[in-house]
Amino acid sequence: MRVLIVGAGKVGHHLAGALAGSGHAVIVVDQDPKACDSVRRAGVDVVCGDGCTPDCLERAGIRGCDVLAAVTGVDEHNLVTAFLARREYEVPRVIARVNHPANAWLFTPARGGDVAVSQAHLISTIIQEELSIGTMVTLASLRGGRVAVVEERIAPGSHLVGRALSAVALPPHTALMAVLRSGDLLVAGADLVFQEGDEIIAVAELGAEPALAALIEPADAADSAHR
Amino acid sequence: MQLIILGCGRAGRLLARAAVEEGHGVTVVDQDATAFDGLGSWFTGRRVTGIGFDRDVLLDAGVEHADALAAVTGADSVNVLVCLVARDEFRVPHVVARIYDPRQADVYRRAGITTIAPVSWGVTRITDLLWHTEWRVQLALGDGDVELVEAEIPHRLAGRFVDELNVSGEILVAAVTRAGSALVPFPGMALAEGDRVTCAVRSLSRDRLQAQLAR
Repeated sequence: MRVLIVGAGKVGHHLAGALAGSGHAVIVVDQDPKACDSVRRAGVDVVCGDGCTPDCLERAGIRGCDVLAAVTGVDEHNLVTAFLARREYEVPRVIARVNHPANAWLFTPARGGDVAVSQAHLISTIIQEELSIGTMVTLASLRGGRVAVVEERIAPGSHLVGRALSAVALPPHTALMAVLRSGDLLVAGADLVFQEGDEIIAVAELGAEPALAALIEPADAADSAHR
Repeated sequence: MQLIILGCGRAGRLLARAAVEEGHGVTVVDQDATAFDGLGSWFTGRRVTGIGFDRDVLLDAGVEHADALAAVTGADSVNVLVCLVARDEFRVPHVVARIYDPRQADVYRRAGITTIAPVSWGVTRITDLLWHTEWRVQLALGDGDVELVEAEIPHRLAGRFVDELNVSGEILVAAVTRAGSALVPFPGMALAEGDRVTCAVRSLSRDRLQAQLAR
């Protein structure tokens, strides 16, 4: 695949190296000559210029690229680059980085490309997940937030411990997908028996998570964690 | 009407003054509070400090009830972004973005954002003044998409019909000035040496009109 990466900061540099290493044709755009040099030294092609301008994007070969990732540290620049890629050059897949969570609302598909990646959101999700005992974590939001993939670890005292999935009545509009147990993935089947420490991965429609949490968490924890 | 002006530089201040004098309600937004120092005592509107694409700043500036928004900060990306958001999220009826990069301006214009491109506009004016001294742009309509141009009729066109200069959809002779009096052309009207014609011309067809009127 031909990939155009706009922004040669830490994210762009790392992404370029990873994609080039797996055999993709990568070109990086940045307006800072120092950042460009550092990417060039890593053996990746660089175009030095303003990635918000058609002139620079065309020099970098935007017309032939399959994917564009706008990953500068400036949200308005990422949005403009994504807008141009989408609107003017019809790049098949456009991904934009959200730096400031307060700007996330600006990144709609019409303006910000197919996917908006918010690192603050991702990192906080991962940290919450690592911290989690008796707290439900949203791993991914689908359909504009109407459906969530959630994860929760079975805490000591949960009445799920020792029960089989077939014996548990799941709340409406939820489905159990799998359980992670000591690093193994157990796909949810009727004969699955829950153990303490299992990480349950489930999908839930908007509004159905509290009922799911109430099912998984010990009675007292469910009240405090879900107001 | 209620107007939001984004950017309190020279253009923003001048625009604010014009709007206040016209009796409009004006809110000026700039991320640098000291930029408001340039607004004189004549300024009766509101000042809001903040980044123009910040949702709270826009709401504070009254974007939900604004009739128009002009984005004239020094940053093209901010200007277009705010116009897109104002139009698509808040349904502001009239938005105008100033865009320095002529190529970006073309893209945004095609995307339906009214765009003023001062660089390309200025260069066109300057080339007129430097190279086309027999040629005067009297009025630019839209963002210069159509211009009203006054030009002198060369000797070789004397006796030809006015209609011969017209090109459907591109060039229309609107008036002929002869010996100090202006006439609206009538069928069969012939040109005379020394006439000046005022033509409505599409900016893309300027070269064609210039070739027609070459000496």
